[in-house]
Amino acid sequence: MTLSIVITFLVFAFLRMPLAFALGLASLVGLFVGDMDFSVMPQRMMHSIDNFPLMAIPLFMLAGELMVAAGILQRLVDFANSLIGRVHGGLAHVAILAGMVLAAVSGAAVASASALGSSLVPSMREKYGTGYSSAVVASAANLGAIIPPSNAMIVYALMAGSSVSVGGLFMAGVVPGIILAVGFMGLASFISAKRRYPLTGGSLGLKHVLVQTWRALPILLMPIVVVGGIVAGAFTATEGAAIAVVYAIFMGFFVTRKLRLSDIPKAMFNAAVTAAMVGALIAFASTMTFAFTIDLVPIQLANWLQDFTSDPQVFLLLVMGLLILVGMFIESNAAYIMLVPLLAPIALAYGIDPLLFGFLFVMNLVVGMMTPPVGVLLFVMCGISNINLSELMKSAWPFIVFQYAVLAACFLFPGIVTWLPRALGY
Amino acid sequence: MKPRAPWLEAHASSPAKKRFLVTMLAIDRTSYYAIILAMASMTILVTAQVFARYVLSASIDSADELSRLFFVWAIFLAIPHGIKIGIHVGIDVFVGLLPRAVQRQLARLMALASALVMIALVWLSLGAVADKWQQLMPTIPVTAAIFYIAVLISAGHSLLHLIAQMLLIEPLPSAPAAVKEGATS
Repeated sequence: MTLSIVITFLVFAFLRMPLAFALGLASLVGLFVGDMDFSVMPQRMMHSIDNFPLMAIPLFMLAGELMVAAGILQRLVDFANSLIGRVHGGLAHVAILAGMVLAAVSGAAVASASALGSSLVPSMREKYGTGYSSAVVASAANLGAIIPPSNAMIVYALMAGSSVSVGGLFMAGVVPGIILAVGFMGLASFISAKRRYPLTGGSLGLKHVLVQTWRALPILLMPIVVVGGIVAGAFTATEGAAIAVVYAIFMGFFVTRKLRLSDIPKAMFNAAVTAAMVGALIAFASTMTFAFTIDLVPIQLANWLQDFTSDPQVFLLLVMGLLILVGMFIESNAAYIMLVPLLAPIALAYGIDPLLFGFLFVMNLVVGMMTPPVGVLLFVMCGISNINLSELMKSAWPFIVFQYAVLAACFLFPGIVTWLPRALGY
Repeated sequence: MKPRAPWLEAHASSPAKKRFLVTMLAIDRTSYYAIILAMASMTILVTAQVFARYVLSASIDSADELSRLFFVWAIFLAIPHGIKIGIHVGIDVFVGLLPRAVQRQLARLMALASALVMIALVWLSLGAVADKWQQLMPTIPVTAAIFYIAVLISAGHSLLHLIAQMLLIEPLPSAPAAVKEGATS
């Protein structure tokens, strides 16, 4: 049964059938070959979606859509510009800082790339050229899946079952996220100075900084309220996401006053359709996961791997290698949904810290979003900036190499990942 | 959402096709409003639960179950819209190497294969609806089949979009740009 599922899925997936439906077709074939009751399919699909924590994904997406419609990006850009605009690569720093705060609001890399790209690339390309501007924005947007809240981490925690909490994974992303952001800024400064890009932004003035900070304060408070509430146990990730939506609506109507009533239905529809992409994958993969469990695939895979190596580090390296390969071809959500239920229990059997494994899993696929040939973010940026992939890659490679370096550092020094969540009691 | 898609006239080469597309647009529009209603209800219920817990020191009994119900409906109703705009991801690295005409035929073939999955799902979810009809939800006196009705509608609506794409009366989002415009090679 397992073999028929895998072969059917691979054949149709490589023929460009949408992955969700290829999973559905493979599941039907598996149920037929395994002579199982077909009625498990709608039941498994329903149970996989009828899940309270999963509701956080469309709600965070909705909050992000509303924040952008409410015009928060301009305030963030003005705030970042007042702080750091007047240094080498000033606009690049602004993009990274804005990306960092946007990441703490929306939780999705592609949404951040669209928002940052459409608003910042036009002014950046005048000073830095299109390739470099797009590379910086793509890197800044990639922070979306690392800095909490992160939709990728919600999906991971859901697929991993009870071994890891969403709050714990959120906290695991904080230190590496800051390292990435600071590193991106360092790279941006170095490249801008080397290429002699012109200085941008006005001179640093205390009054100007204070005014811009005051204007941006309600936005900066949002991640503190939402993520802080989740981490402190005041509410769940889903409730935090709903509060983020209400906060965004309040901000849009009463603080920025740019949100219109007519923006809300459109934002709701967009969030639902984007979340449905993840939802369809989860729903159709659930029957496949069920069939694998019936065929004892996770146990067989665990036995095979433990025969191959008993060293947790070697196992981790193997998984990371596999994820880099998978990330090059398969969209990250599909990879979480297909691989986490198989690999997370095995990592536990190896005695690997579930938070570390979860974070490395997520970060591997996040870096994969910027790695050719598939790299979703690269294609999003190519679309926004109207440049070809090779031109973008000329400027993006230092940022990609740096992300792999941080990934390696997290593997070699797990404290980078686990220190904060452990200190907070996760 | 605009009431008429710009490609309607271009693709509707016969009155039957035009009627089909107009019907599809009406279904899309109804589904669009249902999704917004479900999303709004879900958000309000989850927020109200937090408000009730911290401000009123109370709990809304059915809030969790109802919000999950709205979530399930929002997600399943949105899947066909994703098919229409091509949001469901696939691997196009290898297919992209093929000639455009072959890519178009392959995209139609995959729409057919996806349609077969939806036909199976319509049939299976009909069975699930019938099976659960007598069962009630734990906190509200409504049939538990209501969850499966969302799957049934989603599969049926998705099937219509996939048939339209297979017959090229709706653009094929997974095909190359020229193909989407109706080019033959």
